Amino acid sequence: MNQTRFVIRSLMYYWRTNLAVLLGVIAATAVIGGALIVGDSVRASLRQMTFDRLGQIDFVVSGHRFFREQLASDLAESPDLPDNIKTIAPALLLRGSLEKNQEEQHLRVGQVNIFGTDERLWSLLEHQNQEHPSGDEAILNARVAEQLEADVGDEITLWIELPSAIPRDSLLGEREEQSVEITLTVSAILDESSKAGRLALMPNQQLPLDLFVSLSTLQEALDLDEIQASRRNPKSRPARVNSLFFSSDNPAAGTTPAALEIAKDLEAAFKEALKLEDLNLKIAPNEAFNYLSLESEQMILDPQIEQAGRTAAKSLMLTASPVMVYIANEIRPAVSKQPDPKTRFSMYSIMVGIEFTEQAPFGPFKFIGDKPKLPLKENEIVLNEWLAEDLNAKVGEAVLMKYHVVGSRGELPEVEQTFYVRGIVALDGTPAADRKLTPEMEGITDADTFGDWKQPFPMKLDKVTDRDEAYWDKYKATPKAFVALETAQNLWNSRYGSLTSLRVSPLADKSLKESENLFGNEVLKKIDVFKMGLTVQPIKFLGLMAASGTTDFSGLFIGFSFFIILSAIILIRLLFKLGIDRRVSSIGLLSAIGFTPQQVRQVIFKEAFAVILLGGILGIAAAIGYAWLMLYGLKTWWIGAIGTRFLYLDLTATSIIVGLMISVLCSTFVTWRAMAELKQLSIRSMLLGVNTPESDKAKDARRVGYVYKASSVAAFILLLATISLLIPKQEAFSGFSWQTVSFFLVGILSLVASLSFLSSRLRIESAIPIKGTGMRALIKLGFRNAGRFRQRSVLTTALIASATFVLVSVAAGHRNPAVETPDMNSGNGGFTIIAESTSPLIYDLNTADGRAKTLVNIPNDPETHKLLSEMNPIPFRVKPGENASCLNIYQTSVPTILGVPQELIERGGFKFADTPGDNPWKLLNEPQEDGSIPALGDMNTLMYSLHKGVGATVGIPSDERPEHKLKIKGMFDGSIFQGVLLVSETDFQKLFPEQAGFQYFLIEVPPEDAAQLSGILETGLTEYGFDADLVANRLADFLAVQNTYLSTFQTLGGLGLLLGTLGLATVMLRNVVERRSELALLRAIGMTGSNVALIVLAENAFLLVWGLMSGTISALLAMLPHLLSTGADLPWESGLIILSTVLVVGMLAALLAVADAVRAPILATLRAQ
Amino acid sequence: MNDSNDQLIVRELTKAFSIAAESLPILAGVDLELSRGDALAITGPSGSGKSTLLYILGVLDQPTSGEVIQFGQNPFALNAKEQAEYRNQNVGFIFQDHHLMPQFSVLENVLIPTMVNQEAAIGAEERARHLLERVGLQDRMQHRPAQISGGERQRVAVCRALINNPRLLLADEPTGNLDRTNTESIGKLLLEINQEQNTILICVTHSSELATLFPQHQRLRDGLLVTEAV
Repeated sequence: MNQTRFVIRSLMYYWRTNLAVLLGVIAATAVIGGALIVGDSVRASLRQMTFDRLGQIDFVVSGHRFFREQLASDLAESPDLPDNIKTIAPALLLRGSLEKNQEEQHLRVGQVNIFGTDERLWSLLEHQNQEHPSGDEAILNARVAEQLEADVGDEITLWIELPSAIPRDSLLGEREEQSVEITLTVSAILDESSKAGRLALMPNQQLPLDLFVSLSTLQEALDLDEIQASRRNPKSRPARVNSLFFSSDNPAAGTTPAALEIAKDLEAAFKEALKLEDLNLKIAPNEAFNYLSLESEQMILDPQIEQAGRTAAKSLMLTASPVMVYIANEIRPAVSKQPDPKTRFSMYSIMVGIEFTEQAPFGPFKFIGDKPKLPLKENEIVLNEWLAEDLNAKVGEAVLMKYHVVGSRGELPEVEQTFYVRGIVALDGTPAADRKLTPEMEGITDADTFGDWKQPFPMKLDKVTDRDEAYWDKYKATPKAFVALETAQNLWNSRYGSLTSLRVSPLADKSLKESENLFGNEVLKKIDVFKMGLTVQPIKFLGLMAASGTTDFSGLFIGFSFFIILSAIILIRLLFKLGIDRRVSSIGLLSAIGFTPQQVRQVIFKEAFAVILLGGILGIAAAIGYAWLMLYGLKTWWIGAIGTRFLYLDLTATSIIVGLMISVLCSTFVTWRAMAELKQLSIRSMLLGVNTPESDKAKDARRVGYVYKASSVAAFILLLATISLLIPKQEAFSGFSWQTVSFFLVGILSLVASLSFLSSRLRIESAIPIKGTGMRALIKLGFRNAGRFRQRSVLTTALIASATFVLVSVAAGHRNPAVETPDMNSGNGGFTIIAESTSPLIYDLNTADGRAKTLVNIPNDPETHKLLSEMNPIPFRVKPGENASCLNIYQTSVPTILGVPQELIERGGFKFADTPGDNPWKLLNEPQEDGSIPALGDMNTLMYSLHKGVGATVGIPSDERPEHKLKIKGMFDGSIFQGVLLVSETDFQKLFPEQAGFQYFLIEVPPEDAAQLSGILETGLTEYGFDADLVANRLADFLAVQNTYLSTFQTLGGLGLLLGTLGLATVMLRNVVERRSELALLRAIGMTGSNVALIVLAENAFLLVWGLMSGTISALLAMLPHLLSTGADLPWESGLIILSTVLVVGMLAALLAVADAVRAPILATLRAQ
Repeated sequence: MNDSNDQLIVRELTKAFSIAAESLPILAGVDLELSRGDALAITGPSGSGKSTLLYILGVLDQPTSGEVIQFGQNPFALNAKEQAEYRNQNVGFIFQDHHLMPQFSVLENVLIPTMVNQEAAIGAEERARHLLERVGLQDRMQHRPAQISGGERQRVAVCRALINNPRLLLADEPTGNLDRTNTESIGKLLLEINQEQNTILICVTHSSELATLFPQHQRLRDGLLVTEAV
């Protein structure tokens, strides 16, 4: 006889108990391991989606700059290109909106990714041998096709923003013709499983909106196609793209951290291959004055370019002369000296800000009369002799200049500035006659007359005089007046830059042409392509990193399954203890015959551990099944949580082993603890079959009684204080008010009071006196029996009550924003409509003028005009980024950033959490000592997606290579701003000067008008891809995720509760087994089987109903403020179903115990005891 | 003079139980002195403390006061582990309810005490078989407790008590659940073994028939042992 044999025999003999423990361990392992497998599977699925999404694309350069398509070929031939790079595919990647006209219906879809592709990009994607689009062919992905209800052969319209070298919201930016309309024919639809149909640069598990069109077609439509020089049109231009996609020949190159190094090398090679024209730059040689001029097609030199130009000039020892030109609408004497003012003004004169110099080639200027004192002061001006003559202006006299300034909403108000004439320069043959001070601008500098100007601002051509035309004819855009550079920059500065050109002298011993090349190369060397937004991203590697997920699904499902795990563990303990209790005399015997306590525990533990280990191992298979079920749930019942069906089961040894270990350790711990209780029993007691230590009942009852009284009084006082408004409404933490917290405490206290009351009453044997006859008396006997094994009864009731409390609380947390009315201090901020546009709107929809310039094809009726004039839209500037809302389960780092206009900052509104101040919006205007930019974000986005809190910083453009830092100053609570960060418009324009106009709108309008207004705006702004939605719907989308998670928790918690109910049934069974002789005696003295059944069922029902009721009532009390608020959406039906199921299953399970009690033969049972 | 190493000496032994903050005395100063080879039957009414005394002597319960010296040693001066080893090596206990473990065969039940006694484990099975043969259960060795009669179960319990050659054999109502024939049979068996193995045998019983078989007989009355005429 040895221990192994002892253990095996015991295992076999007590197989029923061991089987029950085994099932408990299987359940625990299944749930814990299953949750870990779900986490692995989600991560693996996200990784696979990244591979599917990107096909063979490993690296990408994509941005707002349009560079030569030829750059791809240049780069491919570059010796600096990393060896791993196999293919370089140039493409256009833009955002557009689509429309399909179907009978009377206009189906639209905005924010579509438009890929202009040829065979090069197409070859990197997986599309089952589908031909790439050509001509007017359009290939749609499944989501676009579904939203447009499009089939192959259908005609669709693509609206896409015309690329503009000159920023739209600058003086010379094109505002009117912003978009181009392209008619396409659907040639193919990529089904949902198509990998090419997932192509997107931003990671998101949801299917993107993708349209593939021919690269050449798109280039042609957007004026980005190649033009060969001809006799008629001597100016050639290269075809342009804005993206390069790279694939490597080695899969590891794009998917491992080595990708970061390769991206750096690739970026260096990219920079080497860049030409000035890739950055819309040119160096214009000025043969007449022998200098070079660094100019940009966007008319204004980007500060980065200006800096590069200055540094390049310095390194080549060249003299640099910065220039800023602007158009003055009108110049006239400040005080009219003649009765007829018509002869005394000049229209549309070019002004220039320069630093006067004596040195060639930028000087010397020839002054007529006295040379002014240089440098010029802020209000001083030098006129050329033509203008001086026009104005009959003399040195010392004042002139008035009128010019446009660019407003933040696209408006061009005319402002005036008075200057004092300090000098007059001669024109012909002097640097003042340099017409190339003004950079070339097609449609203006090459126009023959003012009438031929193709300017985007209104002109008063009727005021243009013959003298003006004569000057233009002779001198074109030669500046008529000169101010100090600093003055020009102060007056006409824009966020895009502060110079229109940078002139440099040629190298001393080089020709102008040679100098041009050398200076050009030097400028390119000095340009930081990263700061220009031309960075090579290891997109596949970053995607795989992001696949780690914003949400830890392992943790999430362990949380969701908490009550199943808890119930399983408690069940293991109860079942194990039941087994121990039944064998307590045998255990006593072992002690009696000389087993030391350690030896006794050892043999029992070995037996238990064998069961636990076997349960754990078998539980692995159950874990896989559980994980499969959870994934199935995520793909079907809980699809709202993740929004994708592309999840698959992925098994990793680590999760399986960890799940097994956690389950085994937890089970081992509870069994060990159960065994430890034996220590409290004397050997003699155990030999007598006593399995519960004696305690001082009176003392225990008093102690529990105190808990009951204290918790009841505390709950009552807190409730009174809250109702009588003694508890403040102010926020306590994380968006919860003190009143909400107070009610939750009342709920918890009432739960404690209820359970401690039960515990104290069960201790007092006289609490339920046994008297009377019939069913009532039997039921009372059953109630009284609940106190027989008080600890077990209270434990199981507490488990059921706690589980019910959490389940009902969670269910009560459901919200339905559809029923919420606009409220300034809520998540909707008082807004009814949220809208986004694919192309930016420049003008202000709040003004009649702005609407007139923007809206087309709207009904011309009073009702429409009334609606439009009464709406209050707040426009936001947008820097597109990752979707960091809960709708994206990839890990995000830089979300979309919105620029908040000052009017919203002043208006305030929305609900904040953990954010001080009456109007936390004003935090956006507070400068930060560390130079960071204040930002606001939604609490859910910050906490769960970005994992940042108040005070944390977010690097722009990335945390890894931050150019700027946003500092989180406050958090919204449950707001419409999920997934984005907000900065002030002023800061936004500094951060992202290239982002023109507005693309995100919140509109205040009465809810009853919302649908009609949305329709009007969507129609009127079709070319902008304007897509309006109800704020309530958008909030509902966000809340759908939260509500789905709540439902998941509710479902799995319900399963846990059921398991807990089985625990209660086990307790019943145990009680019945232990009281078998008593029950047999009851039958011996004349009670029927039904009577005994009633007694047992009454006991079970008493504890079960107590647990369910106290949990439910306490939870409803805790959630009362939420339930009374609008938008509360307690799922009564599903909640009642779960609780009823628990009750029914609990009672059915108790029937097993009843059967055991009734089936046992009376005499044998009495004798056996 | 007897060697104290072969004796069981009990002096002024008391035992009281606390019930609802009150002390209920059971043993009120028991004195007892037995040597190896002695066999004593203790009788007394229910609740007189017979079993309590036996449990204390078997080191399964603690005395409230008094002295217990067994074979020159005070077992209550030992810690729990040492007490267990002491019981295993020196005490054989036969319970009224035989406490056989249902999952094991008769032979295995007898062998259980040897599992924690390496010395006794040597030749244990042979010894167990011999004991079982000695009590007439040679044909029942592989049976489970549920498959044998009450008298047989009690004989198995006797064998289990003897397997480690204890110096002190304690029997608590060993025939309480048995008929008259079995009672006599078990009583004689215990006494034979007492003589064969030179143990100190103390048997607590209600049965006057069993008590009369014993050479010494004391009655527990008012918490004290009173010698009865044999």
